[in-house]
Amino acid sequence: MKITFPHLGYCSIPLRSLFADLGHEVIVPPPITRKTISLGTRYGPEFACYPLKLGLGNFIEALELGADTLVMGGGIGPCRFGYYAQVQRDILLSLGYEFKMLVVEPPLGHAGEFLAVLREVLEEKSWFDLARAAQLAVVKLGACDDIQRASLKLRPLVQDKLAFSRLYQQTLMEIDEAGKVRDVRLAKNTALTAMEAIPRLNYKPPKVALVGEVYLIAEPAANLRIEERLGNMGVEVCRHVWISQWLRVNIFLDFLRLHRQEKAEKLAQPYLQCFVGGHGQHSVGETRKAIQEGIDGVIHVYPFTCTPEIVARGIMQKLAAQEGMPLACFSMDEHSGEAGFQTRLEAFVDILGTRSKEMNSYS
Amino acid sequence: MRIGLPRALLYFYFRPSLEYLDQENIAEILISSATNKRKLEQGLALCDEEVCLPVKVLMGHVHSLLEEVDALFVPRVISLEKKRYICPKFLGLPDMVRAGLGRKTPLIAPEINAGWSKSRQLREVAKSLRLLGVQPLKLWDALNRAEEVQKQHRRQLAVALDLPPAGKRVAVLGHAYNIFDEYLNFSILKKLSLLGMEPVTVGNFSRDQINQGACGLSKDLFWSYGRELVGAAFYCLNSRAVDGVILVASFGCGPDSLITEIIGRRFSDSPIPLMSIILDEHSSGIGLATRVEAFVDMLNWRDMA
Repeated sequence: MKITFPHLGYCSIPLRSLFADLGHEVIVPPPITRKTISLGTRYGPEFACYPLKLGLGNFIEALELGADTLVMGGGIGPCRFGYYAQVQRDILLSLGYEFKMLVVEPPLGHAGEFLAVLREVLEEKSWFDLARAAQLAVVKLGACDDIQRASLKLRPLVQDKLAFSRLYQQTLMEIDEAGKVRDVRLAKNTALTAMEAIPRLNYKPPKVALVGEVYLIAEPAANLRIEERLGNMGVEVCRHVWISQWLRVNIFLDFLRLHRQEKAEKLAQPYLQCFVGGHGQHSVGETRKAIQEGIDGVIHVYPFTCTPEIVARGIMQKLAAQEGMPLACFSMDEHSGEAGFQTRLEAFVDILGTRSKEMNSYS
Repeated sequence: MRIGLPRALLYFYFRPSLEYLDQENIAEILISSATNKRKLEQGLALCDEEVCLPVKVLMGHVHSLLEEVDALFVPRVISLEKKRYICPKFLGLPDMVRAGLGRKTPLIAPEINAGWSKSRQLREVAKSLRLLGVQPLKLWDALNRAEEVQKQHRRQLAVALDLPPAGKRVAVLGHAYNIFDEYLNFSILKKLSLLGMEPVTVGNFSRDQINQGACGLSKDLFWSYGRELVGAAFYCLNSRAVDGVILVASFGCGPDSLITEIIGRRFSDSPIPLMSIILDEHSSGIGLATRVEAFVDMLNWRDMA
């Protein structure tokens, strides 16, 4: 089996490690470029959201490189992501590609289908092999999340942003290449020490909460590297969606029925009472949390036409206006231009700066 | 106490039972008048610009009722069938209305959830209606009868496909709130009738026919109304019950973005012509009329060739 999967930020690192350890050849799709975007938009449905199109582009590029097994997530609604695999398969088949698609449905409620996919991937490997491969993958994912967390905190402060970016990229590469849990931890700890050691500016960065849909938050190619841009402008990004945490809550805890209501969901309830699919309720809850925690601004990113986030957006805008919280909403798709995006971000950051100066002069 | 019922969204699906409840005098119900330009513009002003057209229209209706009623009926519809949703926007609808009109807006917003038992559902509805002082037993009775009315209405409609067609038959498939709101779709059904066609809608397909069509899906769809659309379209394809299909969707509709693709792909190599129409507040009646006329001409000329 030559396995491939769509990109989701640095998730290709743990996924590659997982499938490679199970003895498969892994074809990681080429990084998302203009070509990926145009392939996805050319063959994908016009009004489908950006993640479908980018995933489709990833699959086409990987199939061109010889992949024959596509791994894709499933779902049970109401977010349309749950039907993406079927639509993508139909499109790819009509383009004449030959492949097998493995759709990973959520284990709770679809245990049979989930196990069938697992067996298919395992082939003659044992459950023990799976556990070992999964452990390494989870550790790698956690390490990537830790590095990203550190970079969100440190990037606005370091003097040499370029050296910082280089160190960040190099660390991800080391984590990707590490073959043992110990090596991953070593790479992570060395990098964290090196990051701390870079000379810093002496200033207190404004804080911005980045909320919204998980794909758009986690995939830099889709959000036009928003975290890096904000970091380079000297803004600290606080983010609530982490893939490792998402896996823990939605796969393991849900499966064991230990899932408890999260804080963000509770906070959202007076404004958005129930789950609306995707991360809609979280976006509202995180906005309220940001207001309570005295964060300077909120940035909302989501794919254009994403219904759950649009429901959340109307509510967030009223809430933010009421509480005097600066809020910028970015609905992203293949037409998002970098220059316009940069200008809007800069304007937003300027507002934060002016506000804090005004507040200081009043107090 | 007067309850306002916006003539928008799910009203168009449950018109028979809602009108029945209105006659039964369970409560004083005021149904807003048909959509017009003022309602749409009011809705546009109150809504976030990215929500879909039917929600904007709902806001307009809700606003038009506000002055005249004591409370508005905007239920939170989670699901109408087990394990299927309708659309994420219905899950947050009361919250969206509150965000648009202020948090103090008096709403009657029972949660409708097909995953619940019937008694739990009744408790929820009775709780939300307690202001009216209706006895639960009377309510239960009225709701059961309304359900029967709704079912009977559906059965009556579903025979249309078995009757001999009056002219060429065109299936106009889309959500009821787009198909039956004449202001939004520029009376597309009337237009087709005037051109000598017999328009049929999703309601004219029986449950069996829809299930039969939906069998052709590789994974069951988790949107009730989306599944009906696909089922009806696939049934048309298999049974050749219609001469043409027109898909009507609102711009930015999440479920329909995939449904249009699934249906379009299946129809691409079939002899039944398919036209897809996307509606939003910028649509023009003239443009739509031209497209519908061209579609009808094409259907008529196919026979001559």
